[in-house]
Amino acid sequence: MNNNRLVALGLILFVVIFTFPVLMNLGKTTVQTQPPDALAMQGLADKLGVKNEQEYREKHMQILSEWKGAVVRDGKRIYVTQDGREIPMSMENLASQSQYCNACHDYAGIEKPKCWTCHVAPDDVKGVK
Amino acid sequence: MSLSRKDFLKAAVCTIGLAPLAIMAASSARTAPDPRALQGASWAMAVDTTKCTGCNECAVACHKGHNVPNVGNSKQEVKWIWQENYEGAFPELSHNYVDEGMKKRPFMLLCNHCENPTCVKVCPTQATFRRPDGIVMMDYHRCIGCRYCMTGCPYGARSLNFNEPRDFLKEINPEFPTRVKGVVEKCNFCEERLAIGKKPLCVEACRYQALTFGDLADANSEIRKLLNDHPSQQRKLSFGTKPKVFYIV
Repeated sequence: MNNNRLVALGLILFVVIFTFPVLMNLGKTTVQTQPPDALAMQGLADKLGVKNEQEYREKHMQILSEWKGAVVRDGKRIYVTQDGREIPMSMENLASQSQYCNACHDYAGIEKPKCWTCHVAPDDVKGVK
Repeated sequence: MSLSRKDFLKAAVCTIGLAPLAIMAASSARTAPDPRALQGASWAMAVDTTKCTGCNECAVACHKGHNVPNVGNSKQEVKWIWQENYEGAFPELSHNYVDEGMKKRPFMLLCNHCENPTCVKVCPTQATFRRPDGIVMMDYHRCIGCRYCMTGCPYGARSLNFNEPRDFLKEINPEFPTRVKGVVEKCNFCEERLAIGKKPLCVEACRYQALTFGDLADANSEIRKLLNDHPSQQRKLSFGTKPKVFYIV
C-alpha cells in the first residue's frame, strides 16, 4: 500500500492529460455555429444543375470532378442537366460563391476546397498586388 | 405466335447485352462541346520570320491572358512564348557563316505540340496528354511537379513554377486560372479560346500577321497554303518528335 501516493498522482495526471483538449477549449467558441445559408446553397445548386441543397451536398464533388474531366480531357464545356438545361462548366462561373465554399466547409469541419488556389474568384483579383 | 424456349433466351441475352450501351449513351449525353468551337484534326502554327519584327506583343498578350508570372529570374522564369536568335532556335542548322540577316532575325518559340511528344511519354501521372485535335494539353490538377517533361522536351517549352505565381502577377485575368507553386506549365495553343471559336491570343496580337494558326489536316487551310508557297523549317527534327510549329525563312 506504499504506492498510494504514486497511484493518485498518476490518476490525476491521466485525467488532466486526457481532458486537456476539452479544458483548453473551455469558454472558446471555435466552431462557427452559423448553419449554411440556404439561399447561397440554392444558388450553388442551380449553377451545378442539381435540384436542392441535399443533392448538392451529396453530389458536388463528383460533379466538379466530372466537369474537370469533360473540359480538360474532352474539350466539352457545356453541361446538360437531366432536365435539359445547359450550364457552362467553369469554376469561374461559381466564383461569386468562393467565400461561401470556405464558410460551409468550415462549418462542416472539413478541409477548405483547394480550387481557388488556381481558379480565380473575384475576391482574389482585388487582393492581388 | 409462340416463342420457343431457345429463342426467348436468345432475345433475353441480347437485350441484357445492350443495356450497358444504353446506360453509356444516357451518361455521355450529359456534356457537350460549345457549338462555336473551332474544329480541327491537327492544329499547327506557322511563324513567318520574314514578317516578325520582334516587338514581343504576342508574348505580352499571351502571358497576360494566361496569367503567366514574370519572375524576373532567368533560372526560374516561366514562359509560354519567347524570343530567341537563330542559333538558339536552330542549333543544328546554325554555323559560323549564316548570313547576317538571319543572325539578327528574331524567332518566336513556343510549344511545338508534337505529334510524337516526349513530354506525354515521360509524364508519370498522365497530367500531360495529347488531344485528338493534336493539342498537347496539361491537366494542372494532376501535375506533381516532377519535371520529367521538362527534361524530355527538347524545345525548352516547359517551365516549373518555383514560386507562388500569384506573387508575381501584377493583375490576374479572371477568365483563366493561375497555377500554383510546384506545377509545370506551357503553351496550350489557346485551347480555351478555340473552344469558343476564337484564334490564339498571339495570332490576334500580332500586328504584322507573322503568325498563322490552322489545321494541317485541311488541305485548303491558310497554313497549308502558306507552307506550300514558302520554304519552311522546323526545330530539332532529329529528335523525332514531329513538331507542329513551322518557321518560314
